[in-house]
Amino acid sequence: MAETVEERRGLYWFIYFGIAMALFFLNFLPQQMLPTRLAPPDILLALTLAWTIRRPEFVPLALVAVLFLMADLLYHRPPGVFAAATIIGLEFLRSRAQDMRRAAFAIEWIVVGVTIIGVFALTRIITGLALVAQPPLGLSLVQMALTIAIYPVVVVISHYVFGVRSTLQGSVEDIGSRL
Amino acid sequence: MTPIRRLLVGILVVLLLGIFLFWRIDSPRVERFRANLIDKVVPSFSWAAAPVTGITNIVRDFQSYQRIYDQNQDLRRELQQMKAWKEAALQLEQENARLLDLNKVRLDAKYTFVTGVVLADSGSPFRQSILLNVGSRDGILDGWAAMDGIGLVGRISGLGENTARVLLLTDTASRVPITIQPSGQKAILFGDNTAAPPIEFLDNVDAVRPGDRVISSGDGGVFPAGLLVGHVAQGPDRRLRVRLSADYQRLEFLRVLRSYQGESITDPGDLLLPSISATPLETSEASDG
Repeated sequence: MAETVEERRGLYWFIYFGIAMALFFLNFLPQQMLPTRLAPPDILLALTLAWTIRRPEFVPLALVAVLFLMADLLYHRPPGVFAAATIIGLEFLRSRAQDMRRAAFAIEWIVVGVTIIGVFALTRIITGLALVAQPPLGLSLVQMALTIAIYPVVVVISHYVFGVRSTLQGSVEDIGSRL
Repeated sequence: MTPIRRLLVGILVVLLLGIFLFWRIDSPRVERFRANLIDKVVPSFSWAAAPVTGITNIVRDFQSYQRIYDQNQDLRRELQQMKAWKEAALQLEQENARLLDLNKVRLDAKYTFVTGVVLADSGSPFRQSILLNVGSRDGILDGWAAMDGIGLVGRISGLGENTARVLLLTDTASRVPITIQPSGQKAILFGDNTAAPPIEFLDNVDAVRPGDRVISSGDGGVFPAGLLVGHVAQGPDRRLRVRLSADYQRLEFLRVLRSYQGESITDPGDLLLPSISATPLETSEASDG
């Protein structure tokens, strides 16, 4: 039972990193060589947003920046833009996290949806301004919509499987207890 | 949000956008870094990828058992057609051999190939590329053509020590000069993230029919000439597209063709034209005589 707050936080950093690696791995499986009309949701983005609202200390900015930059590089996107947009979106959410924990889930979902739209739009605007070739708009929109749609699922899984709950009600004892 | 935190966020965002700007300005350096990163990360997935891929293949095969009767009927029908084609091919082969013999043609033995196994796809629906397990260690160079057994698949774009990225013909960044046979028209194959890329910059649309063969033209030194790309097909939007010959659903092994730059002639040639200043004199003499 001698688990300190720091150890617990470290464990969650490790879990977050592990989930990100697992998602990279799944995306890289050589399954889909034909172009599709359907883009899978960006689960890592949804997960990061969900954890930021609940337990911001589990998703340190530096780790998020490194992982999203890595995602940009691995997926052959222009490096850095999506990562920068994500960090701006995270800060937007973090400043409202306290209010959101009190609010109903529907409100949270709407705010997160707006954030996701903002992240995708900002990426598109920056790459557009730099005259980089844009990915097909339809595919981006599908990915954006699916990411918003999958957000509740990600929240439920984080809540029950990984035990990422907001600290408002439980407050101090919750932090000290075992996973 | 404390001021220090705000400063930190600002620095991070500026740093990331700086990386993007750096990529925009000096893209080859960053792309080389990207290739090296992928070279490190993706092969480490392969031990885990093998069983997962195996299981999905088993599931797919199992699904195909359910339609086995229909498949059998289809195969019989196709076999009938193939027999007819085989006869034609044999006759043509004999005829071709006779003609080659008559002409004393020596076929080009320049193209040898390195075969690689497909490690991973691009990991994103926005990019159509795959990763091979051969790289600069095996002497692969950027720009070489990759084929499966039948048709062109793409070109090498991005090299690591042990891996090479193949940019597929379906990627939005892919542009390939092609020739359409039998009319011999030249055009560009425009990758647009669909399974059948459209043909652009075609001079005379009327001379091209659906079903015509499409081969690489070798213009611009992008690819060796004469590699089979696919067949012309007309989409519902009346645009001419190419149905690719390579089986994109089952890319497992790819051949990377070793191609070497041909010698290029840059000056007019002293033997043919003595010198530019002497030319007018010669023409006047010629008109006198």
